[in-house]
Amino acid sequence: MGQPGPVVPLTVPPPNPATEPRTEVAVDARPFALRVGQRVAGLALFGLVLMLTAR
Amino acid sequence: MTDARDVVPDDDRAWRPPPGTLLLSTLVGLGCTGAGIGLAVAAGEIGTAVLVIAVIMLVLSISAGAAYLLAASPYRDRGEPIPTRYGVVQAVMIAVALALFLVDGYAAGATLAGLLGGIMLANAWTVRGVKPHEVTEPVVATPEPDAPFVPDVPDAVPDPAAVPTADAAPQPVGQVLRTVVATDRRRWLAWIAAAAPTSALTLLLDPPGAFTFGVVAMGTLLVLWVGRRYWAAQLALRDFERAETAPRRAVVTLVNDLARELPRPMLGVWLEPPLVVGGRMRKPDRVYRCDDERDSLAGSHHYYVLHEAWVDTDRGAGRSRGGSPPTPASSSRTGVRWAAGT
Repeated sequence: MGQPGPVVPLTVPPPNPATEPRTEVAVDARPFALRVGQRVAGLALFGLVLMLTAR
Repeated sequence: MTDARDVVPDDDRAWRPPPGTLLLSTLVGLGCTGAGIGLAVAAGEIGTAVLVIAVIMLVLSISAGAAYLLAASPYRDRGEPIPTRYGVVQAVMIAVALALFLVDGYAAGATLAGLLGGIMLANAWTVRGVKPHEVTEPVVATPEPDAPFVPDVPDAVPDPAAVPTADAAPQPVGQVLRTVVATDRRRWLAWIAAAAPTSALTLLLDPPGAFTFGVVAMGTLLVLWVGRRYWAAQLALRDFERAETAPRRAVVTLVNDLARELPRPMLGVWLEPPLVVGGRMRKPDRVYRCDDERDSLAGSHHYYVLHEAWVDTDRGAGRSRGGSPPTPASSSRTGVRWAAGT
């Protein structure tokens, strides 16, 4: 029979949505236009590779 | 009477090693390398100069692909970000291959095939002889300051600084879920804003068919894929706020995947504290793949840190999150589940 492994014990009560503090959500601060531009460039590059490969 | 072990939905496909990983990596690596050699030889029909360029680029790309994977693996094992310089080498090789299309398609194809071949052959080398996801004896989370833990495993001596420790201030589960929802919503909207006008413009300008197919099909696919993540995160938050099922205690561990090509860590869940027999623990009762952006507790297969945690028991959308702070962990079905503790 083996021994139980070392376990970091629980120190917090079960999550409760009714009592949890609600703080402001922080999201990625990169400008939205930059995100869109990166995706447009990625799509165009993918299309270009397909076109050149199929040539 | 309901068996308590069945309360937490099962989804252990992530823990099991992909069958035939070594064989598949070897075959794909050899296939790509062979294709690269064939394309380089075909380039020789254009002229000797093109043949020389193709052969040099093939050798360089195989070396770059293999070097990238071998150099990046230790970082991933330790749960650390892969240094940017390794990615730059790959990006340069891809850019050179694209530029080569202007010279000769065969030479460009040989470069791309060599890059993939090098990566896959190196992947086969790293998984050779490894028994994926064999659970070794766990260690405690926080080593004593004067006596840093060094595991008694011959080929695994991690930097003590890399042994994960519990974060000081765990984030509330709801806060983590709201952050994931907000992040995924932003990503989804960005893909819609990019794919819709790009596809419309492409259809309007009517370029060669392959370009149109690439842009429209890939744009649509990515909008649907990212939208699926957003939908799953929304369901997880909704279920958490409704609190229709009570969480239960379990023992969890968060580890990086041995499969190099799978960057997302895995959350193993034991419904009862696992016993260590002969330096080994049994396989977790449940396994979920986690969000790779929240891996502050991720260890490697060399050391397992066990945490007692509260785990989600809702069967509704098939979802999971784990860690401390709560770490989003998607099941390989449709959604997100959570665990929290310490």
